[in-house]
Amino acid sequence: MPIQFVFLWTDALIYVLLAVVSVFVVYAVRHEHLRAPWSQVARRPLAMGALVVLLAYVAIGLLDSVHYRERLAKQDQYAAEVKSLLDTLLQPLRTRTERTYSAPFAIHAFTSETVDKPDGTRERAYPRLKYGGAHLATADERAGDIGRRTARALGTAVLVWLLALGVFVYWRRLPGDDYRAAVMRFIRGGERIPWRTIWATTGVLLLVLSCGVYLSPYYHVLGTDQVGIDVLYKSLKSVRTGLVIGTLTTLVMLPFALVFGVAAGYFRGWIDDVIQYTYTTLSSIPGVLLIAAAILSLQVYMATHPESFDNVVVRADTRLLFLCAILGVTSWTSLCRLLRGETLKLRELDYIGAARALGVTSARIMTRHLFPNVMHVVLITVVLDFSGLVLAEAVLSYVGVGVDPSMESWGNMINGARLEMAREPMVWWTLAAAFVFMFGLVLAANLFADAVRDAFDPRLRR
Amino acid sequence: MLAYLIRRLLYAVPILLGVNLLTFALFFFVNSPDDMARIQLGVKRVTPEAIAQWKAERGYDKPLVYNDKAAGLQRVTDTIFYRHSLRLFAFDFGRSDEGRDIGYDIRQRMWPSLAIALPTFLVGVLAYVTFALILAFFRGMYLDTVGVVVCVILMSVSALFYVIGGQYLASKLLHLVPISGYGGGVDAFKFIVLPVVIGVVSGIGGNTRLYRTFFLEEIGKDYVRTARAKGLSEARVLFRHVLKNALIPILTGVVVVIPLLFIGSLIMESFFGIPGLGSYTIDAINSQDFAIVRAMVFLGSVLYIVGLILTDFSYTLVDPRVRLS
Amino acid sequence: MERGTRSRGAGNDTVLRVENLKTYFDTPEGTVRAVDGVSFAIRRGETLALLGESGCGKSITALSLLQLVPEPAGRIVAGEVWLGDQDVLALSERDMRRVRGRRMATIFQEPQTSLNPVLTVGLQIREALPDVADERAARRRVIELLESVGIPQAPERYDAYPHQLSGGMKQRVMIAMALAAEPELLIADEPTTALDVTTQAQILKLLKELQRQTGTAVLLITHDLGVVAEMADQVAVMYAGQIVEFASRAAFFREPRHPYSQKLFRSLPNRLKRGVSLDVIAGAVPRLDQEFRGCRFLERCDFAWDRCRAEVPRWLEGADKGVRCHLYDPPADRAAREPGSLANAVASEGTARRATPERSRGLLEVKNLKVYFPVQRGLLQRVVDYVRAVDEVSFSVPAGRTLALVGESGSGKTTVGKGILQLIRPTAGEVLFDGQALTRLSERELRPLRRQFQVIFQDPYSSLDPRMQVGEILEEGMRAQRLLGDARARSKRAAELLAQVGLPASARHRYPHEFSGGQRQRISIARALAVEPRLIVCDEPTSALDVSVQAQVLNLLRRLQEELGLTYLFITHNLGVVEYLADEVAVMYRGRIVEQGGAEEVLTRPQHSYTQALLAAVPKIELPAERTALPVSGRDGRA
Repeated sequence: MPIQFVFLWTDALIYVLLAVVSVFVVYAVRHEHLRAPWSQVARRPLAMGALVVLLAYVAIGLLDSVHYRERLAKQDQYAAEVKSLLDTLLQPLRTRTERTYSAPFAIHAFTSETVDKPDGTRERAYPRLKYGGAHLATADERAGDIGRRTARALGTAVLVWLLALGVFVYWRRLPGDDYRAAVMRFIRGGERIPWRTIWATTGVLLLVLSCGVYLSPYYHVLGTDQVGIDVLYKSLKSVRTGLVIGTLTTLVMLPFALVFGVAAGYFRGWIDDVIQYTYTTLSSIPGVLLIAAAILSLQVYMATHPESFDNVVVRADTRLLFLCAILGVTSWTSLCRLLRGETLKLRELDYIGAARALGVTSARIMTRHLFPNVMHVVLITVVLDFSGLVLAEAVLSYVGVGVDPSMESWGNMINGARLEMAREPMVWWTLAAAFVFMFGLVLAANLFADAVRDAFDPRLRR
Repeated sequence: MLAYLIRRLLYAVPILLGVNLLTFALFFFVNSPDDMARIQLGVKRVTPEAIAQWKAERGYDKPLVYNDKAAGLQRVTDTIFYRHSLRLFAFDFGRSDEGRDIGYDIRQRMWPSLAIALPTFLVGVLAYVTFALILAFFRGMYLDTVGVVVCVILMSVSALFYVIGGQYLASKLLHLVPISGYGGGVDAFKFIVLPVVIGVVSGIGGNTRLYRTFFLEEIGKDYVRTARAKGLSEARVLFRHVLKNALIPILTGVVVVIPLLFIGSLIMESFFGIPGLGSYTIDAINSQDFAIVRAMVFLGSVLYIVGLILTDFSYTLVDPRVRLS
Repeated sequence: MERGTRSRGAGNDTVLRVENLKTYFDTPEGTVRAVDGVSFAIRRGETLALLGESGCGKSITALSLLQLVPEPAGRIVAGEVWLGDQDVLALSERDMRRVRGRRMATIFQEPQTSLNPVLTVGLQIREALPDVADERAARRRVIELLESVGIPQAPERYDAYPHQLSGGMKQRVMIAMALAAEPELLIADEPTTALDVTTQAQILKLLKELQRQTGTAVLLITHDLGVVAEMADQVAVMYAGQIVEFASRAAFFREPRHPYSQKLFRSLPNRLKRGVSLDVIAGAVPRLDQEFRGCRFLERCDFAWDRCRAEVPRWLEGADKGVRCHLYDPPADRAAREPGSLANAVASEGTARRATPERSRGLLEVKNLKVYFPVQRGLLQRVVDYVRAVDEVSFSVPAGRTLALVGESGSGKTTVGKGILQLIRPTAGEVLFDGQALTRLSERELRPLRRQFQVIFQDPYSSLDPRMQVGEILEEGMRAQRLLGDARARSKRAAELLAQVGLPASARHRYPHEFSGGQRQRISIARALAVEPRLIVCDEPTSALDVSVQAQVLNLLRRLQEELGLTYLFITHNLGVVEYLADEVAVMYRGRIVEQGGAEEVLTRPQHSYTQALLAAVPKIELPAERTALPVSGRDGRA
């Protein structure tokens, strides 16, 4: 085997999550009460556009969740370094590091250095970058080169897009439609699913991707950071961190919130008292402080038990997972309270009374009647929480209790760049990159969540 | 009313005890005091003597929960749990791991925190309710649709960027106010303005949208139809009938945070260099001062519970149906 | 264009004249013509009852008059609404505001939700006063109004909040609010539907009295023939968005002309129809998102013939009456198609009685049943008192018989039912089922016994799990009771049960929301039957249904009792249903049984003063062609 797969904890959970989502999709397709609101979501152009963007992020995240070690050429061993599929795809970006900061598309370093001239004298100058624009002879060629490459990128993107769209329209044409009519129908729109929006979003994403493919091997499109790492690479690597925080937290807390919330509402009495006490206690601690306390404990534990965390990647991953868990503990309580309230209402409904009169057991009432009927609350909470969690990661990392400092994340990027704010001229590109990538994900998630809430929340149906 | 208050306070005791046990477990069971000493002193150059001394100076050399060497009541009181956790109930926060008096620090630092957090809170709530009312008034119209989209965009921006952007704009580009710092007296105003504005702006998106749904939910109710059937104007329906009812869900989220204003905002204070409790906490986290974090966790919980009780009392002000007993 | 009743209202004393009103709703499924060409007129001091079942468009008609149709889905597409000499549909929203409340006031159905919970009632009435001069005078006027609607201690009540008043009081406040500006027209949209029958009687009396004093015209919207009999001067029957019959009250009750009106009378349960099936209106109201080619009542009419299919019936106007039916067009045609005389039907059925079986040992015996809910107070939440929801209730139900437990809301009758089923564990007393004391059994011991006593609830919308298919719902009990081993047998049995309650076997694979209220109630019955019970507790099974649908469910329950020898504990407030179905009656008042005995005896010779008051409060309907006044409960269903 040329490679050896490495399963990090978060990878495993991501696969579990994928499985859960797939099962849910199959379940939803079969159950009309889920299919109907989802098809309502599917009819909203904004939501579907957002979904395309989200899927793009998810694709990046998934590529970054397949980890392996490469076999070393000579020895019968595997390299210590753990890489992901994404790393391999971005190999040029990953390895081509400069010495320190450089601006986007720069071919000279951002800071001046003392260089030895051939004639023996020394002078302060902005040296050429090792990789950025290294193929250019002089700085004057830069604008033309970028223009040419961009044009080629756009051309390719448009071509690919048109081809794919053509196939799509052909595939979806109605019987008896000639091709021209099918195209006209697509352009007119008005179909149940807003295909035009979906294709427009896809087109934009394709353009961005294509530009990246054509330009990033030759330039640092988003500049480099303090130690010269390509910011585009960092931003892409941060996608997985954001997604993991946004989704795994929910996955971790969901079973607790669901079982405890429903049990408290259904059984009442002492079970309710204990569960209420537990979540009141947990929620009374301000979230940031609880997370800080827990992460500090973890840090100490890791520092005093270095043998268990030999590998940087493993250590960062453990911390990420722990962060998800502790975030889950803090966000668990609000969902639990919501579900308890909902269950208190449901248990008074006649169909629960009828089930009890039929001698149906409590466990079965909970799984067959209560869980399906509180699912909309769970679903709305999950989608609404996602963007909040992605934003929380940045704040926590900034405070110093977020993900491991060695891990790529938007929070760490902002944290690093903030110190350079006072610099003149300002190092703005790391901040800008983190902003754009985060904003894209969070906005898409919010728009999508909005549509989901509108479709599933019975109070909003008027 | 008084009986209710006393009962709620009594109910707070087991909760705070739970908080205490939890932090105690996190700080003393997961990691022993020895581990902490090692971290504080630096992992490399640690001698057992140095650790013992470090522990003794801070009182961490006692047994955790039961002292079998002591006599009588001291078996319980001469322990880490009693000295470092239970004493918090008397608001005796003890000394930080650096040796500072935490209680004194908190009393000093809560005022700057409040100076930022209170205006942010007041201006914020007023602004959000106003914007939400405007959107609710124009519901279903163009302005409302645009407003909601703007809200979603605003709430998709990380709070960090509001701070960074605001600082850059106001201080670096326009040179309106100092970029950070804090001063007493009249001087304080110029330091407070920017954090307050940024604090309010960063909450606009989410809160306006949330309050708007509260208003819309009330607008759909029967009593609004009755009010319209009486021939009341739309403005009167909204301000007299809907606003007061929608205040109930708004209060639920708002009143509970009032006491927490004392401990300020971590981000704002650290970005603007304000010597409040927020930056105090961040400093403690960065220097891994567990005593301070413990104290802040406890303080936060106390304030949260006070907030819950205040929330209940605030209901009696707006909702005649609620009577505390 | 159809003339409607225009000619009738040509005089000067016409307060309201509605011409060809059309209100449509845009839904994803298409345009629903909720109100489709309605015309009527009301004179000063007159009450016009707009009678119809749920979904016929009567409430939308009212909202259209006020221009309060929920936007943007609903819109008034055509018509004129003349209030005096002003077409209010032509008014701007600003001008319309001066009409609402001032000239055209409204009382809505739900006093619980129609008042603002956080404002005092005084203030809410004050808002309705036009042009208040000064604070003092306004307050005085509000107190006057409160007094005029019979609220005691009016000055103190000014500062009361709605939750401090009972349902009847709230409705009085609504009336005071509506009358504050001395409107020319009062629209009362199901004003007593949410109230108990004794409260209803008071409110109706008050409305009549106030109308006599002020001369206000009243548009009374109701589904209840009893309320119509009590209140109306003129009756307009609405069906599927149109008025199908118009007549004076006397004429309407003497001889209802439209087949739908006739059916409504015949489906009412009462004593004379005991032991025979009630007349039902088969099928359901047609969907209103279609273009009608023929009569809207076509599918459900016993007289329908080719012409009804091919031609939309005209509005046929006679002296002070009108009807929309081909039977009367041309009038000469009528004799040939004279609808069957109601008198015959009632008379022949009226004699049918079931033989009373020997009084055997009760299948269900309830002894001194008490259900108390603790009231906690003080610092330690000590129990200082109990709400005695059910107090010392004893009765027994013989096998194969029906005991009706009658009472108003809050009397504890539903709690008795739950206490018997052990859904609420009683505080004291015994429930013996076939000699076995259920109250002493643990939940585990109880479980195998549960198949013998089942329950049917009131609300067809909350009694079926919306997330389960009908098949799963029916099989749940069999599975829990381990009745049939394999899935195929269960599925087959589910199909049989559906057939038994008159639903197709294909219903198994559908969800509850695809069924109407009556069909859902049948599914509930089938669910109970699935475990082959001996006793069924029927908790108001028909009170959320329209009269015509109620008849179907009552027929089904009666048939099942005959076929399967079921025993019923029938919890209800509807005395018509009691008369029709019950062998014995127990009357509950404030947690206690105040009177019990044979149905005939209790209902005709009540001993207890509460029973007497209850019976007196029920509006009397003179059935067509039968002059003896029969008490028929007024509260058969909700709009």
